[in-house]
Amino acid sequence: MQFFLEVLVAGALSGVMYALVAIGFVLIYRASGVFNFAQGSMILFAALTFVNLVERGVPFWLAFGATLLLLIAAAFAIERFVLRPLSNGSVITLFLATLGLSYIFEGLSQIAWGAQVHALDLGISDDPVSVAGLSLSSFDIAATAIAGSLVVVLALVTGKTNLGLSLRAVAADPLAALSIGIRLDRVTVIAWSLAGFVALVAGLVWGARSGVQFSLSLIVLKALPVLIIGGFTSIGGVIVAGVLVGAGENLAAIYLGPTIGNGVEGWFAYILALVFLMARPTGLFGQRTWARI
Amino acid sequence: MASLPAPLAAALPRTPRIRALATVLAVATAAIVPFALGADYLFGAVLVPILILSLAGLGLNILTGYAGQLSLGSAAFMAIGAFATYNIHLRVPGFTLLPAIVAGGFVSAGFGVLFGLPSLRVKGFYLIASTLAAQFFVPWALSQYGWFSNGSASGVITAPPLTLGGFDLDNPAGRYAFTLGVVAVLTLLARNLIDSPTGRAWMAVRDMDLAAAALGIPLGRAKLLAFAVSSFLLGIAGALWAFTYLGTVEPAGFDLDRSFQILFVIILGGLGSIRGNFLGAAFVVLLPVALSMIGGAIAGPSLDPALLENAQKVVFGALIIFFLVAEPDGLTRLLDRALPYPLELDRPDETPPAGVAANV
Amino acid sequence: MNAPHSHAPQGDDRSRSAIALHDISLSFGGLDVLREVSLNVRHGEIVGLIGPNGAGKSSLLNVMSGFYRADRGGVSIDGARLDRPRPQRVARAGVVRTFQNLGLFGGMSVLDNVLTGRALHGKVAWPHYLLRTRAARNEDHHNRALALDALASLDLQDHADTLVSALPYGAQKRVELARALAMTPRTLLLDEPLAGMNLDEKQEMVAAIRAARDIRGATVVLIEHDIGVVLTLADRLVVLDRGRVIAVGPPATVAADSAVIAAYLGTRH
Repeated sequence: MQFFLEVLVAGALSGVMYALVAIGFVLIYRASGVFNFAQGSMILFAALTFVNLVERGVPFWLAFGATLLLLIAAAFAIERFVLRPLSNGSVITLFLATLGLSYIFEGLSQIAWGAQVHALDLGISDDPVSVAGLSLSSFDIAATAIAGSLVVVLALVTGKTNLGLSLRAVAADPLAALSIGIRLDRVTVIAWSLAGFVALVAGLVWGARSGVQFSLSLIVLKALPVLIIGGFTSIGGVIVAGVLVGAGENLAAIYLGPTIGNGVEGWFAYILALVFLMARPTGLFGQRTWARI
Repeated sequence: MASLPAPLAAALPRTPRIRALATVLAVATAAIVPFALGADYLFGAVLVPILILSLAGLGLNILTGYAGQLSLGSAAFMAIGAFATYNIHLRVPGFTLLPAIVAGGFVSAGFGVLFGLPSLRVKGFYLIASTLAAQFFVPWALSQYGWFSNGSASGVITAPPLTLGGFDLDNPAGRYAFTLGVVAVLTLLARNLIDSPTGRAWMAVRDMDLAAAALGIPLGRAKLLAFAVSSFLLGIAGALWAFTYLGTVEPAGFDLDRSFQILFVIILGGLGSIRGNFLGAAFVVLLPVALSMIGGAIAGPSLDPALLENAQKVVFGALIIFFLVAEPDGLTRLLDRALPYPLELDRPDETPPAGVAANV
Repeated sequence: MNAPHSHAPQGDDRSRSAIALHDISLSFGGLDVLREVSLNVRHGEIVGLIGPNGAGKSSLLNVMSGFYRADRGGVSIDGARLDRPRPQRVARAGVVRTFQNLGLFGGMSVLDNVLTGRALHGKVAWPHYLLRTRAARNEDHHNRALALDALASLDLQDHADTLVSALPYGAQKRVELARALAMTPRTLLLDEPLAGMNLDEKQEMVAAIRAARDIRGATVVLIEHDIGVVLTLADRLVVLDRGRVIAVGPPATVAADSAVIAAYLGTRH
């Protein structure tokens, strides 16, 4: 029983890290109505940039700030050259455009910084710690805490500030938002910059856990089942979904693995998402849309 | 609500004779010229993969370009086709290569319908959950269970020598001829289907499924048929990939990147177009060659292959965005513009009637 | 009166019900959209459905065509009660509708759009089309002829190969009617078919709608805001206000009805 709980909780905490990635998607989806396939490669780009600066002796916070500035610059470029020309495009067109973006980010990251694995030390230890009789990783707990604070900060920003109000207005109805004078391009840049910030944080946490390497950009793929289960529009939803996916995946790997083979965690999340999708087509917390005919 | 960038439509050609002539010309050129040039490298490394990727693109185009169902799992269905063909040819008596390939296509079609079932309930972008699940599950299953690869450790299968009805085609020219024959026949059949009520039903589902329902079109059946036909073509493309191109395949060769590659073929070539697949495939195969030649010219022999690969990524990504923004109808539209007079083989006339302002 | 090709309904046909609603009630999230609406449209009638904005006219059409499921009440077509029909079922019963916001397929040509209307009439299965058998080619030929006829009746035959979304709005609306006519419908449900048209186009549309009834024997229910058109075209008017039927009858009578006038002027509250 204890083992079961440990697997469950370890998976759940792992899932929080998925959610950390997924939050970036939610931000962009709410502002631009698009699933940003490039989020994963943005994470890779952010982490690689940060780690390379730090390895060259740049202090932590300066490196953080510089990377963030780079991501904001990218947000401007993306808004100007990709999103604005395609503003009349369909959801799928925009998705395909972000697919193109992801290729650009990946290629540029590796041209600039190379393909070797970099270790990232955030100063958080990974010693096992005992909580309520269960042996858990202190790193995972710290990551959960970071994700939690991020959610609180984002909730405050979107809920309590004028900027947040604009973001929500744009998400609800871009045309109406335009008509009351909201600067769509500015809001878009801010949303993508926020997503860049989240990508940086996620990149640091994931990078510290498994090293900064190319496979970081594949995490985006795991975020998709999380988004599908949680709904594309709810930050709280993706946290819940992340926990579900992480726990489920871990349990499946440990308990199903011996029977059906290794590597179950490679596809389990997607099958889980598919099952959920059939039951609840808009996710646990997503919004239903109505067609006007 | 169109679900995809301004797609091309397979409309009734105003000049069916010109279209038939052009098709015959194209096939004849493809059948004669390469043999006249005779370069084995051309056959094996350029023409065969272009043909196979064109077929795969055609398969994906039917599902995504015509029927409007986005799929990220094309490579998974190629894998199913390849491995099914291999096993049927190996284990079922009486199945020589060509029947085995067709049978492999049907197996893939069956799985296509299975993974297409969610489309009955889920619309739009969420649907990729299903094909993405296929994309991760299928290669895992194929490498996990040794039966599929007849006991090979990492799921590698090796194709038997290529023979057809007693003829030994196991050389670059023979492989090219075989591939050309298969792709030409399947393209013709696909074209027939697209120009029929079935094809129009697909496009109706894509453009406005509610209106299609009001016309009595059974949406579920139309979608599943699209999945079936698409997967059939992808399955055969996968079998050809193994049997006439690489000779040796493993499940990892049918990964997400391969699915993206086919997606690029149809975006660059033109969604909802038949000849676009050939243009897109040519582009996808030849661009890396061109880039490496340019790179070699600039950097000489010290060119870092990783740098080249990453440069390719950046170029492809930029091209995708460029085409989506500037020319959503892809290369096939560019080709139309470049020709001295319009052939209008694939798409209806976009110019508004004389004396009337175009609809904004 | 007996034109050789006329399928105008004979005397006793007129009393049979083409499409009827029985006590339909529908609400969306607490808002009552339709309240106990009953309506009987007889074969060969042209019924005009009018009322102020938000009265529930389109919702009524959506219930009739199977797009909305009423909370209470039922629909019958040709006298046969249909239990919560889906749009395809309604289409198979010969009831064809157009859409307020255009239900055309933007990626296809004008001709292909009209051809999709022949979907239900296809008797040849898809494998025939795959192999282009004679049966398939014959059916295709037949369908194209019918489609071109429908286009010609709305003066669109020259634009058959044009991408439908390249046409101006009024022409697109005509394409939609052509498609509806190509389905050889028994009943037509038209949602604001004349919206956005100039005078010439309106006259063409009115003539086509009238011909659909006079020559092809179709029953017509149309929602239309142009009162002048409705008064001359319709045999009967049904007036809806805030989800309820407030008047039914010949145009002259209904136009003079004080409740109807009040509803449009908004004096009753």
